[in-house]
Amino acid sequence: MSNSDDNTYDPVHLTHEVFRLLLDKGLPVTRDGDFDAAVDGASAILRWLGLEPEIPAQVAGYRRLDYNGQLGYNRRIHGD
Amino acid sequence: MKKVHSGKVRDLYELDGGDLLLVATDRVSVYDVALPTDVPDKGKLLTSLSAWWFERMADVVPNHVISVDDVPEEFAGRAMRCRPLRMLPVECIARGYLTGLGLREYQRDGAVSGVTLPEGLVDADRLPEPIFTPTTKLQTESGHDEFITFDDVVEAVGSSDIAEQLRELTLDIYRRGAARALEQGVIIADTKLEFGLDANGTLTLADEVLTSDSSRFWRLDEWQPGRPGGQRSYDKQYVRDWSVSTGWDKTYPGPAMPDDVVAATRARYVEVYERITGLTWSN
Repeated sequence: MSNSDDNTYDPVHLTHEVFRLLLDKGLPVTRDGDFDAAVDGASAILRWLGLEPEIPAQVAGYRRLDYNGQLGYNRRIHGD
Repeated sequence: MKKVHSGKVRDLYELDGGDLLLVATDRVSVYDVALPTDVPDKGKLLTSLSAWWFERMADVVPNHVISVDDVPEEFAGRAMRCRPLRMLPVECIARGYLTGLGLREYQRDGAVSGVTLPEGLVDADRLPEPIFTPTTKLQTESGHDEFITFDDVVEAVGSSDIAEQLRELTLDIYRRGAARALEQGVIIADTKLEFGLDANGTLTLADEVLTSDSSRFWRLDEWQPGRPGGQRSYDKQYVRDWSVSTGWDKTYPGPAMPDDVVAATRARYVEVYERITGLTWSN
């Protein structure tokens, strides 16, 4: 989440805020696309604005889990 | 509730109040591409299997599961409400059989993750004892994931006591799980576990446990060390074989599965669940 003391902001939070903002403006937004690419984009915007993108540590730890299923596991652990 | 991560087959949400929600979808990835056709109940089957293992291992180590029932209705059956932990940056892998990168490391060095193994082992051979072969998702300078040594684990987690606990817990959980599965005709060749520390600093088992997404499952009656082409995955081989037979080039987007392939794939996930748990899948 945001932290005004050290100029950081959660890019995940920003993507949700942008979604709600555009929805409020009546735009036909969906969240069917590449979520992680959106978070990367939000991080880039924050850096451009002089803020450091920072996901809360407890969530960040979970984000590095393997969410890609058996083939991702096989590729990383077994190399095939 | 807000989504904080989306993988090919699982999603992560942060709930109001700070709990996390791990959601397993019905998506299937083959050759690292999520196919456009879902396999009904796959997410529920893997969530149920993981929850079953968490319960069985509760006397070994605390886990991050709060509830599989107290979840948003839209995710009923396929989600776990979890306590957020400070996750440790190590993937804890236990191997009871030699295959994949472990085999290659063995052929090169005669050892895996610093553990010396007997001479003459072939692909899919059972090891004299399960071994701990941790890894990290941080890529090396060569750009490849590689196993790390026990000393690397100590450095990564900052404590030899915690590193030692990780090794013992990983091997204990694997031994118990593999023994149970073997009784039911399923070989768990290896598995990956993830741990974190809770607010009190207690080592806690997280993520998923002994599912086919975090382990290699082989049928005992098909196990054949040294088999050309390697062992056949218990639950995914059918869809792998089918996808190759379509002439697909293994790049995005994958082919849509016909109904009979979906049904056959689902049946294998059900079979694995029922074999291991001894329960009947009634969903």
